[in-house]
Amino acid sequence: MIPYLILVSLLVPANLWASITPHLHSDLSMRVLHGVSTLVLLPPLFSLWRQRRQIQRLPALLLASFAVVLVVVNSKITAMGMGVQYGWVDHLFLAIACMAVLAFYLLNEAEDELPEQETSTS
Amino acid sequence: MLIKRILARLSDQEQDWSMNRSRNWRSRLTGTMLGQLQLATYAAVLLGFTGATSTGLLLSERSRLRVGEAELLTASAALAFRLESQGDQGETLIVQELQNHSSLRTNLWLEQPDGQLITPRRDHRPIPAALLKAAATANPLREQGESNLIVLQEREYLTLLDRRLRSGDLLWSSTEISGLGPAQSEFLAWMILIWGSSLSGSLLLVSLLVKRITKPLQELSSRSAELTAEGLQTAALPVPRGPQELSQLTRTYNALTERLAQSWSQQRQFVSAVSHELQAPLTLVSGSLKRVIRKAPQLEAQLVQRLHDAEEETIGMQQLLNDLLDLSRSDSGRLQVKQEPVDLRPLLDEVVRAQGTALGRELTLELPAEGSSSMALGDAARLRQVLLNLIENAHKYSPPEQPIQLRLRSDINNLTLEVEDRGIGIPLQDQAYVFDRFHRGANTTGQSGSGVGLSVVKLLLEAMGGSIKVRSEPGMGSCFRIQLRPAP
Repeated sequence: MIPYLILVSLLVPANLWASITPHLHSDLSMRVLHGVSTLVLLPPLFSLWRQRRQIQRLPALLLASFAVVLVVVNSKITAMGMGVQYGWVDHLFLAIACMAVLAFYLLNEAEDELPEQETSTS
Repeated sequence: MLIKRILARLSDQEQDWSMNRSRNWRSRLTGTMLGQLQLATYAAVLLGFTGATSTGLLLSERSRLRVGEAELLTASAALAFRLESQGDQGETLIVQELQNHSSLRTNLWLEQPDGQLITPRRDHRPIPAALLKAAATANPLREQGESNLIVLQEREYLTLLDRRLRSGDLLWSSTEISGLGPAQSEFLAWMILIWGSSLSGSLLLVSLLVKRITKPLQELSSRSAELTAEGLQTAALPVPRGPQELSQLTRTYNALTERLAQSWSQQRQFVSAVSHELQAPLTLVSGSLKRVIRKAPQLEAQLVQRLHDAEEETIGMQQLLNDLLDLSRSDSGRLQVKQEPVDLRPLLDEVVRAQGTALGRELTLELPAEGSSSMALGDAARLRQVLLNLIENAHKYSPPEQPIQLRLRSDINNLTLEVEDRGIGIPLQDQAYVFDRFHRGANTTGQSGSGVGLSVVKLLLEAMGGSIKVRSEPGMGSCFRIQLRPAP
């Protein structure tokens, strides 16, 4: 989990750089960045679904919607390659999503409470 | 069905594994001082690095555009001045002027009112036609002063529509600004290298500092956990040469243990003195009560019963005082217990006979087969005290009709003595503390007692080199098992 969080944290500056200097990355590096940024958004979506009864509804719904939209859009960009209009905005959103994922895992206490509740219901 | 079960089992195991891992990473990261400081350091370095690199790139990107724009404005202004100062010219002269003011990177061209373009004629490096088209497309309304960034075949161009000349021609210019890309890449590479080094250094430094801080704290914690009344005198810790707060904490801890040791010593002295002082009047009261009962036969039966009750209470108080004195002597190292051969058979016979009569309860005794040794190493009087204490305990917490069983077992290395009752038993949560001083079980509230007896029993047996254990089931009874060393 810690390596995953480190990877997510490193994607924040990487996406910010990509947003500021779109001319610096090649097509391949851009595809890799979009692909990895899409993949790291999948575990929090899984966690959000698993903890749907423990966590606060509104922030969870916002984060889930944001992540789902980004996963769909970035899967398409990864497949299509460079040349997307307003690509810098997408990188900015990816950086924000990565920060939200970090905040979700570091501040979310529901993950600790889950095992106890499951034990009591089994 | 079987496959479903296996899948469910695997899913459960996977979930348990992921939960354990989840708790593990969280406790590693946020559950310790080291983890929290490492996280804070990482966050600080990452934030600083992200802020610095992003700002650097943003400024460099802005400078790149501004420098290019300034270059275009200068070239356009010079050309416009030249063309307008010379009045109406033929196309050949205009082309010549365009050529004069253009360079390898910067190009200028005119767009006539009818849409025709006049460009400098350069055979070796002409203006890319795609660039001319892209510049016009990027500024369809022909806004003067508007600049646009255009990417063509991985090359970046800045285009500017500077002004409309008096002739009605639009003055366009463009410059290639791709050259700063490698510089920015180099800047990023250096920043990543510096960031990596700073992060490694910071984390190493934080880990070392935190270990230096937590080591005395862990020592303080483990010493506090091990602290007992007997160890108070030697509980002081060496003051660490670290942060002032830690030295202060250690000094406070040392002062606290010193005060506790002093207080504990005073308390022991107080208990010892009170027990001694109370023994004499209690013996007097007990003797007087016995004498009154014996020498006053004319007293009413009810009054005699009351005197008997008072005598029993006095005996109980004397026993309690004796126990307190034993504890006090043990704490100060003055408890005297003999280590001599004691035959347990006659001792047990005598105790069972006397206590059975005194308590009015059935006491059964199981002895080992004749011929097996029943000689233990200990103090006969103290062993008697131990047995009386255990029997009285069993009597107090058992229904009157239930017998108390005493068993003696002998083997080569050990003599085992058991006192078993079928009483209320000891609650599970109390069993670990049953030999602690003043501890009483949660189910003994209806019975009088001080919680001293069993601690004295343990104390005396350990002084004789033996030990005691308890096995109990709430509602079913308890069995106290004494191990004694056989006499050589």
